[in-house]
Order: sequence, then structure tokens, then C-alpha cells
Amino acid sequence: MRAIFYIAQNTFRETIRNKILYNILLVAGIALVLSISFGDLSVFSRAQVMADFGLATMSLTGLLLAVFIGVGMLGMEISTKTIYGILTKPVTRNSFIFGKFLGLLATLLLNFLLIAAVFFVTIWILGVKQEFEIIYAVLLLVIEMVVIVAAAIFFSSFTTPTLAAIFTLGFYVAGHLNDLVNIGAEQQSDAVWRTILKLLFFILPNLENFNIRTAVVYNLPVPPGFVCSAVIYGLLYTAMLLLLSIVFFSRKDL
Amino acid sequence: MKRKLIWAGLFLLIAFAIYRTQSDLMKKTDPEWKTESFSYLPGNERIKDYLFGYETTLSHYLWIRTVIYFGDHYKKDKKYTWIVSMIDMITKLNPYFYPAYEFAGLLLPDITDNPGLSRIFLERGLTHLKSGQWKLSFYLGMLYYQSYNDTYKAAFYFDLASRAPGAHRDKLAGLAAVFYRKAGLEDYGLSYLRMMYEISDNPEVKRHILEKIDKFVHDDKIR
Amino acid sequence: MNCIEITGLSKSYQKDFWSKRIAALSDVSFSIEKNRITGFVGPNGAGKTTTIKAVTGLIRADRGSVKVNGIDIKNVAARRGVAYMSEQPYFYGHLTVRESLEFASNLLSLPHNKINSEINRALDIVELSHKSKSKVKEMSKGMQQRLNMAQAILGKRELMILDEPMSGMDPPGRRLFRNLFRQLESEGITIFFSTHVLEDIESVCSDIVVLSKGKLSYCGSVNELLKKGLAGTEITISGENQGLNKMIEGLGCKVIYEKDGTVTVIVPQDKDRREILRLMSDTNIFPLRVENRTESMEELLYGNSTGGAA
Repeated sequence: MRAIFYIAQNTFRETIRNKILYNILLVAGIALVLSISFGDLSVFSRAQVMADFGLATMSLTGLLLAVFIGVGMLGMEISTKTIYGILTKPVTRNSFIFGKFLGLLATLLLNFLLIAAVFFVTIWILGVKQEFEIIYAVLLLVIEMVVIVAAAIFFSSFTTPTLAAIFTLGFYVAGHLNDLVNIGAEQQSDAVWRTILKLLFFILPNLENFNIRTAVVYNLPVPPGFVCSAVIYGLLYTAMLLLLSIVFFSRKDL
Repeated sequence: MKRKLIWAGLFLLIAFAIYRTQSDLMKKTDPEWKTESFSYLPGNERIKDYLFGYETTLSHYLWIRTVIYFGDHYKKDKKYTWIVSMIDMITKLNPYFYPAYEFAGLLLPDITDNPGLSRIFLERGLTHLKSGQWKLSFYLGMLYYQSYNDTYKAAFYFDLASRAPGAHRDKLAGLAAVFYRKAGLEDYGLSYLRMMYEISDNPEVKRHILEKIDKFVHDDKIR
Repeated sequence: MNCIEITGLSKSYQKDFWSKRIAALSDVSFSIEKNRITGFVGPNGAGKTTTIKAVTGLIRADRGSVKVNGIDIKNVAARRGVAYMSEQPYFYGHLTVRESLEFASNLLSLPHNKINSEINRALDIVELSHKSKSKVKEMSKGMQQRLNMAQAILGKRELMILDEPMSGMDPPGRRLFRNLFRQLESEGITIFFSTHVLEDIESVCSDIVVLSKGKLSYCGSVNELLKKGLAGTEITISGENQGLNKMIEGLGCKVIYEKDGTVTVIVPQDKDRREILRLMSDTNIFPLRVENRTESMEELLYGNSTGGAA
């Protein structure tokens, strides 16, 4: 446990001291303010458009942070061989993976908090009134980012940083188009194909579960328990990805 | 071995929990959220500037969403609030996407009770498309006749359809001639049929047009 | 119980998807005794780094077993009390010297109240106390290597596995390390280190393990290896008598013409040197120097052309 904590602490320290992070944050902040301001051009449904643009920018920023930091940190650790100094000590590979994940998560949460603060301040300054439920949309964005970080670590555990970044981005796209796989499965008359597509639907992540932006922005009803179920789904999927990361990483020659 | 069993057990447990949670979420998800999210896309060509060449891809994706939206609401409540916006967005992003125009021509008049919308889309399609044009012209002709009772316009578009590549020239020519007569242009109708006879290469088509000319003249005499 | 027990260790690598697997290690078996300094040598590509990685758990062997203090290396407990020093210093650039050692101490689960004193002790030993607040990335390679040693001597270690520990060090640094090895050995610590510099082996090691082309060539004491290298007598004479030199060559001795004008005659072990000396005396040539000849460690380990220890 102590090793997990100190690996997490070291990872957090490393990313916080990384200049690239601040560049991404700066760009994200500017993009956020601009995108919300563009919403003003909508004339009608101004509040909804601005809030949704802001949330969309936060989602994309979270994705960029998760991919570049998540993939970069673990991949770099292996390529620069700083990992030797950890795994030659009485530290298990499981502890390393958990420690890395927690450290990255802490960094991303801190950065996301900053971006969320910019978002709320901007919409407040522009006089956009939003319901409290927007917090749920932000919460689910955070959960989505947690899943993406876990995916980045999973892909980094068995492939190169470049490929891991590509796979993680593909994971994100597939996750948002996954409902089409389910629709395709239901249209299938062939039982074998239907089963395959259904299986694929459940194996691939359904990142749309974390997207309630439209409902929140347009005050559409969110079913009771949906947010809770989505959080549980996200945490379970993260656990699965970390489990698989441990399996692959434990076999990796360093 | 014991450790491997524990890991395998943990894996299966998490997989099962994911399956149950996802199933639960599927029951709670409202498909309307998906459609609503497109509702505020800018309704002008400016959006193309931000798509970096992926406008066709987006149009195809939107088309899939439109089909699913239509099917869902057809089964549910037959209310298609966003269908026009979606067709509009698709045809603006990809003016060459024929299925969207055909959908607009065939179904929009009934589902929206607004033939004008259908007319706009069909005319937009005729402007951009070269092949497959005859059907759009045909639908426009039918629209003008059924919704506006404008027999001249109907005749005009059936005429246009008959000259388009791939059209059933003989049948459409006959239809156009009938509508020219309905519009009070019998002489023009006959001249039109004769011209179609002259320009046709296919002997079978020529024979059918000749039959139509004979019938046209015969019907005129009866009058 | 030996400190390290390697039995039938085999490991192969595949360069790319279409290429055949290349054996880096083939059925290597040896053991390292406790409380001794063992050198680990071999030409480039012999498999030394692969062996060390297998012993430290960084790679999984295809076949065979590795035990440290009787515990299989797959068990994390095997790494307790084991220090590893890599060939190159791999440190986090964003940390200072002290922060790096604090991180290492925490991973070793050293008691919190002992961490500072341990770090100070380690920095004193490697003579880096004045650099404790410097960022690692700002230090020279030699200093980083000293820091590498410092993290290896933190806490109570029974075994130290060092991969070319003196690579990149200047002569004072090398002397410091050799003295440190002797001191650590006197404290009961087992040291197993790989090196290309044979002088290091001869000066500090009691045992040696030699690898060649992924196979074990020799495993035993350094003295035994050097004894095998006794190779006759070396006689130095002035180079004036060409006829004598030809005669000596004819008797199966090797004659080397040195740059300073002298001639070195190498009398093989199986030849009687008295005969040669008598021949020289008869021609009024008196030897400038006569001494027993020992093959150098390099000659013993790598031979004249094909390599491999005796």
C-alpha cells in the first residue's frame, strides 16, 4: 500500500511539474471561453447552446489530457527505464499499475477541476442561468475521463506510446458509436451475427452512458438512478481495464 | 494456480457486473437525447468550414441517425419534430446524397402536412444531382399535382423526368402529355410526344410512344 | 544456501514479427556464494544483461529457475534485501537528489524516522552530500552513477546486483567504488557485478562467472582461473644474435622483437627453459630478465582468436 501511495505521489509530482500540461490547460481554457462565447451567436436557446458548447469543450479537453498524459507517462516510464528503479525493489507490478493510475487520476482531476471552474465562472459572467443538474453532467464527464485514463494505461501496458495513443483515441470513438452496434444487432436476422454484435456491444465501452449533456441542458428528464448506474458502470469498466493492464503488464519484458 | 483462479473469478465477476449495469442503463436511456443533441447545429453552410473535409462523413452519420429516429417515432408516436432539420442538415452537408431527397419527396408531405418542405428539398436535389434525376422530377410532378393541383407544373416536371437518363421514357412521356392536355396545352402535348418519338433510339420505346400518340389523337377526336 | 541459484536459465528474443527467435541465454546454471564479491564477465552480446534482468525480475525466463536466498524470483519477497544498480542511471529528471533517495527509501519501506539518516549516510559514502538539493538532470553522468550507488546502499541489503557499476566513472570514482565494494564485503554483503574492465575483477573479486554466446563458460574462483593461465617462462635478451633467435624459434619457442631493441622469448610450459637458457649461455648471450609467464585475464577469458575461458 505504501508503494502505491508513493508511486502515485511521484507520478502526480512529475505531471504537475511537466510544462506540457500547462500548455494544454492554457489552450483548453481559451477554447472553453471562446466556445461558450460563440454560443452567444445562437440568438435563440442561448443558454442551452453556451452550456452545451462548454461541456463539449470540457469533454474534448478531458480526452486530450487523458490520452497524452496517460499514454505519455507510462510509455515514457518504460522507454526511459525509470521503471527499473521501482520494479527491482520489493514492489509488485500490480502496485505499480495502481500507483500510476491513481497518480494520473489525481493530476487529471485537479486539471479538470480548474477547467470546470473556468466553465462555471464564464457562464456566470455571461449571465447564463443553469440548473443544478449540470453538476451531474460534469460528474459523468469526470467518470468518462477516468475510463479513458484506464484505457490509456491498458494500451500502454503492452504496446508503444504512439500506438497506445491511437488505440485510446479509437477507444473513445468506438465508445461513442457503440449504440449503433446494438441497433445493428437488433436488426440482424442471423442469430450468429446477432450474438456476435451483442457481445461486441457489451465488450466495447458505451461512453454515451456518460453523456447527459443534452438532457441537462434542455431540461429533459433524467431517469432516477441513471447517474448512479452510469457512475457504477464507469468504475466497473475502469476496474476491468486495470485488471487487464495488470495481466498484460505482468508478462511484459522490460 | 490459486492466484490465477482468483484473478479469473474477479474478471468474470466484473464482466457480469458490467453487463448488468449496461443493461440497466439501456432501459433508462432516452433515444431523444441523441437527436436533441443535433438540434442546435448551425443551419447554414458555415459549419462546413469546421469539418475539415469530413462533411460527407458527418452527413452519412446523420442519415443513419435520421433513419433510426424515423423508425423509433414511427413505432412510438408518429411525431417527427426534428426530421426536417435533419434532412436539411444532411442535404446541406452533402448535396449529392440522393436518399435524403427521395425520403423528403416520398414521406415528408404525409408526415409533416407541409408539401412546401418537400418541394424545397426536391428542387434542391434537382439542382445538384445529375443521375437519378428522373425520380426527383417525377416526385415533384406528383407533388404539384396532388398538393397544389398545378397541372402545368406537373406536366413540366414529368416532361423533365422523361428526358432524364435512366427514365422510363415511354411511360413518363405519356404521363407528361396527359398533363399537358389537362393544363390546356393539347397541341404542345402532341408535339412533345412526336418529339419524344423522334429522339428515342429504342424500337420498343418508339412503339410504345407511337401507341400513346395514337391514343392521344384518338382521345382528342372524342373530345 | 547460496545467495543466487540459477538453474537451466534460457531466454530467447524475437527481433520482429517475421524473424526467428534468437537465444540470448541457453541453459545457464550457476550459483553465487554469500559474502563474496563475484564478477560477471563476457563479450558484448554474451547475455550478461539478460541474466541480470532475469535475476532482478525485470524479464521472465522462457525456462529454468532463479532463486534469491532460496525464494523464487517470481515472488516479490525475493527482492527484499536485494539492491540493484543499473548500467545507466535512470532517474526522474524532475526530482532532486534527496527526493530521488526519499522515493527509493519509501519503496523499500524504510521506517520514516530512519529515512533522513539513511540518506545522509548514503550520500556521505558516495561523496554527494554537497549535491543533495541539485536536480538529477543537472548532474554529470559520473555523479548520477554515484547517486545510483547511493540508492543501492540504502537500508539493510544482503545482496547487491550491479550492472557495470563503474561505467562512465573517472579514476577517482572507480577507486571509490572498489574501496566501497571491499567495505561492503567486510560487512557481510554479497556483491554480484558485471563489468568489461578486467582490472576491476582482478582487484576486488574473489569469484568470477563467465558467459559467452549465451552459455556459461566458467564459474569459480578468480585464483583458480589465473592458475590455469600459467603459461611457461618469459626471457628477455638483447636482440643482437639473429642466428640464436632462429634456433630458439626452431625449438618451438615464440620470439617477439620489442620496439626497444630487446627480444622476448616465450618458452611454453611443456618445454624445459633450462635448455633454452643453456643455449643462450653457450652463445654468450645473458638474459636481461627471466620470469614465470601468466596469461592475462583477457587472454584467459577471450583467448587469442575464438574467445572462451580455459
